[in-house]
Amino acid sequence: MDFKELDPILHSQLRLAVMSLLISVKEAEFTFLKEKTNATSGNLSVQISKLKEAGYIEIIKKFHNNYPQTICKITPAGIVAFEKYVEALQSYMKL
Amino acid sequence: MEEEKSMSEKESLDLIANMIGKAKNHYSESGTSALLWGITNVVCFVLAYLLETVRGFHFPFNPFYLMLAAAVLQVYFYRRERRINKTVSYKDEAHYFIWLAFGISLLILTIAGGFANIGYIVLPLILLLFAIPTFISGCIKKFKPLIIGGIICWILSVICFFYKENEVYLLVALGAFFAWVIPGFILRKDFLKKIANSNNGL
Repeated sequence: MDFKELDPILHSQLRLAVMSLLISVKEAEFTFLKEKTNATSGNLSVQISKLKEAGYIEIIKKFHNNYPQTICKITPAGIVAFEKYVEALQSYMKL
Repeated sequence: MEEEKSMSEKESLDLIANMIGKAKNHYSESGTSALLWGITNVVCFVLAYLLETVRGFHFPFNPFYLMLAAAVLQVYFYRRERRINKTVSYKDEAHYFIWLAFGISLLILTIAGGFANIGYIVLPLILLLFAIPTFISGCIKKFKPLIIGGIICWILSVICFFYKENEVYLLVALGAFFAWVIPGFILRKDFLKKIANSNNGL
C-alpha cells in the first residue's frame, strides 16, 4: 500500500481551516477568517504568516476608508498542496 | 481554534467540509441592486408612456436621466456590500462581469440607437437584453424568480416586436418588474430574515 505523506504545513487545525475557507472564495478579509475560525487575531496572524512563507497564500495589505485591511488569497501552489493533502487523506481513509 | 491540535484523517476531512460549508453559506445578497434597477426602470418607462400618451402631462426632464442617479447609488451599494461580505467569491466575479457587459451593451444600444434614430425597435431589443443577464444570474444562483423573470422578458420582447403602440413602454416596465422588482423583494426578505436569525444567535 502506497502511503502518501501528509503535508505538515496543512496538517494543523487552524492552517487547514484557513486553507479550506480560502479554497472556496477568490479572496477573503482577515476579519472573515477570524470570524469563521473563532481564532484569536494573534494566533491567526502567526498561522497565515506560515502559510505565506510556504507560498500557499498571498497577503495583500491596504487601506479602506482610512482603516487597514488585510486580504488573503490562495495561490496556485496552495491549491496544488491542498488537493494533494485531500488525496492523501482519502488514501488513508480507504484503508 | 487551536493551531497544533493533532487531528485524525476523519477530523481533517470534517474540518475541510465544515469550513467550505461556512464559506459557501456566508454570502447573502441583499437584493438592493435588483430593487434599485427594477424600480428605476419601472418608473422611467411608465413616465415615458405617460409623456407620450397623456395630454398635458409634464415631467421636468427626460425620465431616463433617473438612470444616472441609479448608477451613482449602485456604486455606493456595491461598495457597501463588498465591505459587509468581506469576501469575493468566484460567483461574485462572474456576476460582476455579466452585469458589466449588460450595462455596456444597454448604453451602446440606447445611445447609438438614439443617434441612429432606430425608433421603437429599441424597446424589444432592451427587453431582450434584460432577459440575458437575468436568466444567467438566475441559473448561476439557482434562483427561480430570476430565471422566470428572464423568460418573461423574452416573451414580452416577442410581443413588443409585433405590437407597435405606445403601450410597448408599459411592456418594458412590466419586464423590469418581473425580472428585478419581484426577485429583489424576495432576496431582500430572505436577507433580512438571515440577519434577524444571526442576531438571535440561530
